[in-house]
Amino acid sequence: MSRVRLKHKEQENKRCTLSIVQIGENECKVEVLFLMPLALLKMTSKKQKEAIMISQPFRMIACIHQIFQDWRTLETMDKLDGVIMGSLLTAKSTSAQKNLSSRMEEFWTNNRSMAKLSEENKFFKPLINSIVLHRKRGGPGQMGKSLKLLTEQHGEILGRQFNSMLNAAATEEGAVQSWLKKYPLMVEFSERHSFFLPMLYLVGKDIKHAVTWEKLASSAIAAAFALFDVITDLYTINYYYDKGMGDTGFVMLTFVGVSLLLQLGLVTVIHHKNSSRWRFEILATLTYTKPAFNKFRVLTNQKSEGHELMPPVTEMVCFKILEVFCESIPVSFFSFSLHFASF
Amino acid sequence: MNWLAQCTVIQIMSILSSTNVDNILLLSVVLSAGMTSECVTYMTYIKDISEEGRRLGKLFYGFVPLSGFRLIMVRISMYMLSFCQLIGKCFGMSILYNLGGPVLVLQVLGGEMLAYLLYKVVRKDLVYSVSLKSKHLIIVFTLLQRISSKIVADFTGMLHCRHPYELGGSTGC
Repeated sequence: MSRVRLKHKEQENKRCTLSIVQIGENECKVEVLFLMPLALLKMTSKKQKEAIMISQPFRMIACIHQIFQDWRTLETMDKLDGVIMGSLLTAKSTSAQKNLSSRMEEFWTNNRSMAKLSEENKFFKPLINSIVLHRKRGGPGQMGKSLKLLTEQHGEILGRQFNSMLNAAATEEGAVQSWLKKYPLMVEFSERHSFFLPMLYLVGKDIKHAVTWEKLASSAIAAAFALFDVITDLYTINYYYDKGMGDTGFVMLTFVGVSLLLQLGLVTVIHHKNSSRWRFEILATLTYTKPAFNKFRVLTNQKSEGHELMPPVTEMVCFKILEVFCESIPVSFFSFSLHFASF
Repeated sequence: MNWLAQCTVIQIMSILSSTNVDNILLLSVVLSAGMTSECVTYMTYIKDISEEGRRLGKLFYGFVPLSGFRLIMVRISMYMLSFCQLIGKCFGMSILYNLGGPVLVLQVLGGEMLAYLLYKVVRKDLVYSVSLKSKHLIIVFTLLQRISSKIVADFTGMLHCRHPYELGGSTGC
């Protein structure tokens, strides 16, 4: 057992104790204990938390972790290693760091087990590279009949096909299942190397929830439709008033107003602990752009900042339920009634 | 049910043959119904495929296939189900509205709701198990939830409201 105590002169109020215990022939148990002032734990903003996460003790531990991983042998790699490898492949880089392609090259050079696997299976490196680098276009192509016959070109095709399936599937799980069904050789490969599927799931999840222009456009379209829907509703209300059916118009207007009020109430309940975020959400609700923000957050799987009462998926569902219950159903009903009354 | 179907056909024919229909109003109706269906379909889809939903509610969530042609078919079917249910229900309610005014509509909706709540009381399945301290709050929450889910399910056919403990099972019959 070895014990390392890290103490930094610049941050004397932060201490980190790292304990590494060998529990098996090829297995270590690592425990990390952080001692930090209470004020740091009370920090609620995302930026402050990020500042802690990239502080020196954390970076050092991440570095140690990566070195351990680089030295793992292929024979001893299990499902947990797959998760770690996936995390390494999908780790976000800052502007100071290298671009994705060079980071991938570094990954294949430093990681001994992966280098060995890519030597034994020529298709493996192009497969992972094309997945991580988000290459999509490419035909299905013919596959070899055994793993040994798969070439680098096959790996490229397999990766591109995986990305296309990921694009069409509901989740990364669906994409992986379809991909394995289409390419049974990959089932054989995953049975030989238990780390492969967990790694694929993690990389797939990261790609599925990545921020893209497509998702931004989809959210903007959602907002445009919501706004257009409200405009046509207001036109219908105005039409009622013009035709001397002010009572029905007033009832419809009440439903639209009640829906908006309840949505504002819901936003207040969810975001009342963070005033700047609350103001932003209120503005988005009043301008009918909130559905777009909700959709974008769900599509990109944004994590809660900590002050919210519920996760983004539940927030979107509650928001939509209110919209459907208080606005969409009554307005649809009255619009239909208007047509019936004119016959 | 046959008379209602015939009335619907007659009314649709009237809409199609009428020269007085305001195009923007017609667009408003279609857009409202379309947006509602889209809302309900997307809500059901997202909640059903969510990792949390599938992990915590295995019996309830997870009916949507995760990939392939079946996924597309299920999404289209859900959308069509919601759209047709909304149009059908609105037609029915509009006929009642034109026959007896808002009072008749409220009587029918209220009667349906009362029957549903009585059914739940008889089945000893009315009150939700929620972690609220006050009994009054639990009853208010239960009533709001039951009424809103009944209305949403009746008008939009939302599949997650058709759970055996909600509006599904024998309640659906």
